[in-house]
Amino acid sequence: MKLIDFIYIFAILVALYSSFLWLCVLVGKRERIKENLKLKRYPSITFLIPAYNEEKHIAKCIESILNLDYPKKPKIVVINDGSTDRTEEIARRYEKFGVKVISKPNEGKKSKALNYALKNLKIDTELVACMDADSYPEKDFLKKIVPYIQKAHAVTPAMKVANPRTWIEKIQWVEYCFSIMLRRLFAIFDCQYVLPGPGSIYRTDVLKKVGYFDENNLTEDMELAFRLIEKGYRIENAIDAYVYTDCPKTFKELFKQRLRWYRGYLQNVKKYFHMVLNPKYGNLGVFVLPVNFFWLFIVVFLFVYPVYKLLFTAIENLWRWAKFGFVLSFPELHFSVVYLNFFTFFWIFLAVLNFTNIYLSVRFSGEKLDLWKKKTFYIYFFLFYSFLIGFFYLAAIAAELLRVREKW
Amino acid sequence: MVKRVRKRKIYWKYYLLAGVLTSLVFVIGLMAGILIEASKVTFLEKKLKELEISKTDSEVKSSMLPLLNANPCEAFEYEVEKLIPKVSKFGEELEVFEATRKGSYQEYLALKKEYTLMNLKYWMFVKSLKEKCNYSFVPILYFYSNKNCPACKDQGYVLSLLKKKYPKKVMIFAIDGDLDLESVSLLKKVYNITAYPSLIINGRVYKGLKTTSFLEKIIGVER
Repeated sequence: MKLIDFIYIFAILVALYSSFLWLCVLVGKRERIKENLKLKRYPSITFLIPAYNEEKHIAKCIESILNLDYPKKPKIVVINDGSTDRTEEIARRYEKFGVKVISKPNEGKKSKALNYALKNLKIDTELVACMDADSYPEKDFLKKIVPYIQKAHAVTPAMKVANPRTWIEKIQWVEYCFSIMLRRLFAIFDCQYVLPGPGSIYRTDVLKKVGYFDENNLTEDMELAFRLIEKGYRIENAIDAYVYTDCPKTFKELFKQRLRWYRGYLQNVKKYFHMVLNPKYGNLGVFVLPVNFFWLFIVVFLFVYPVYKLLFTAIENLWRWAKFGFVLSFPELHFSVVYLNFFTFFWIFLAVLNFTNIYLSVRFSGEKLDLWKKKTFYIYFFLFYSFLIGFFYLAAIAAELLRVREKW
Repeated sequence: MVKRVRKRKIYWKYYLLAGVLTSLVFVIGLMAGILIEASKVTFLEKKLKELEISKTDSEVKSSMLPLLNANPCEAFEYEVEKLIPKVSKFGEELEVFEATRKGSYQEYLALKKEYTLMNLKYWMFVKSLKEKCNYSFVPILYFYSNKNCPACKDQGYVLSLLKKKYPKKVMIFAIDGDLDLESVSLLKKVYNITAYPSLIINGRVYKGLKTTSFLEKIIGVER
């Protein structure tokens, strides 16, 4: 046994344990996945839509909110964050439907735009919802999400990828389904630490009490979640309150987005490091944060090691070809037990577990598996997802260590 | 109004349950791994046994020939065409096993020694056959080491390339020079082999890494 084998064993143990834990929660608390909560009364709500150069999306976003099926008409505030395109003009067309449009100079931060509205406007509704201009809610969004505010201070929605076309979008479609289930399980397990930008709703007074969004954070939504948890507030999740979002379409766009997310994650873990292994913060403190820490290493390792191996072998072979010549021949394929690996059982088991997870996620996201129709989705996901995430985390860690200037 | 929580709950029951399930699957997986490793050894042993029977078979055949007044040059087509390629394929499987092996070394060492001895027997057999019958193939005895010999990997590549290029001409008998075998030490002493890789072709020793074109010249397939 070499060092590498022990690293694999460690990775296998962490993967098995996390998978089993979430499956246990899923089975043990299955009646809580979809709770049939009744609303005693309908609280008022304001949607905040920060928008920077969103002329393509803003109309769809506003219209979807205007068309929401909810007895108390939601208020809408568009914060035009110094757009240089027609965003403001398009948004103002909806003023006759009661949409409020405010403009401020761009400061390059969503948190500043949100805080600008929260501090300067008299927001008199009980609830506040944040919505990104490139996202839009399903018609029954409020009816699904608002009931959960009866038992929490903030509620997160279920985010889906709108119209996946490119391979990058298809991978994210599967990933988002996976997070929909995981977010719900996290909420049940009382350790939900992300409040996604589009579609999360908050109690206005709580937001005021904790001092709004942190303006010096890369991922202000996650920071707020950590802060709420630290101060003892509850975060819930509505698994069927769908928000569709326009996600990155190319590798470059995704890289930029994930670099920001994962750097934000690293910064927040550093900021709230006192929560790690602290039983005061429940499951988040004793399990989720420490295990995520290990996952970070495993994910990076699972990227670095195969890539290193592959590159090394490729270079070695090319060098040999150049030096000693080569003949083209098909490798003889014959199965022999010597090609089996000590870990073969684990790889097969984890693959089955992984596929079960994907199946459950897709089902809980209210989608059909459509194995044949969506085959490219799953193939791309299985082939590239872990590599992509490993690469992004590696880049995020490197950027944090080298203190690369933050820009987004 | 929802109240804030002072101290969040920890769901110990679930951690325990997940722990039990994980240990269960982990133990099953480890046992499966051990089983796989063991079955590899059994598989190789069985295969080697078969090859040994074939070897004994051809030895019996060989000693029968004078009694039957048969021509030895026509009698060993099967050995040359089928059996020796089988042996070298077994050698490749053994190499794969050695590279990925996780079990004990002792078991493996015995296996490898037996294989090496068989390989040497075939080398001698082919050599004498070539002398007697004027065969055109060239047996190459290749001494390598799996310890600190980066050039051996290159030499291995060159030899397999040669084998692919001239399947009818080249016969490779690879010998791990680190093996504690009397016959191997004798060969090393007689041919004065002190470093790896070393090749013995037509009774001559070639020390150090030899390129494809060099070996093509030696075995007489220069183009």
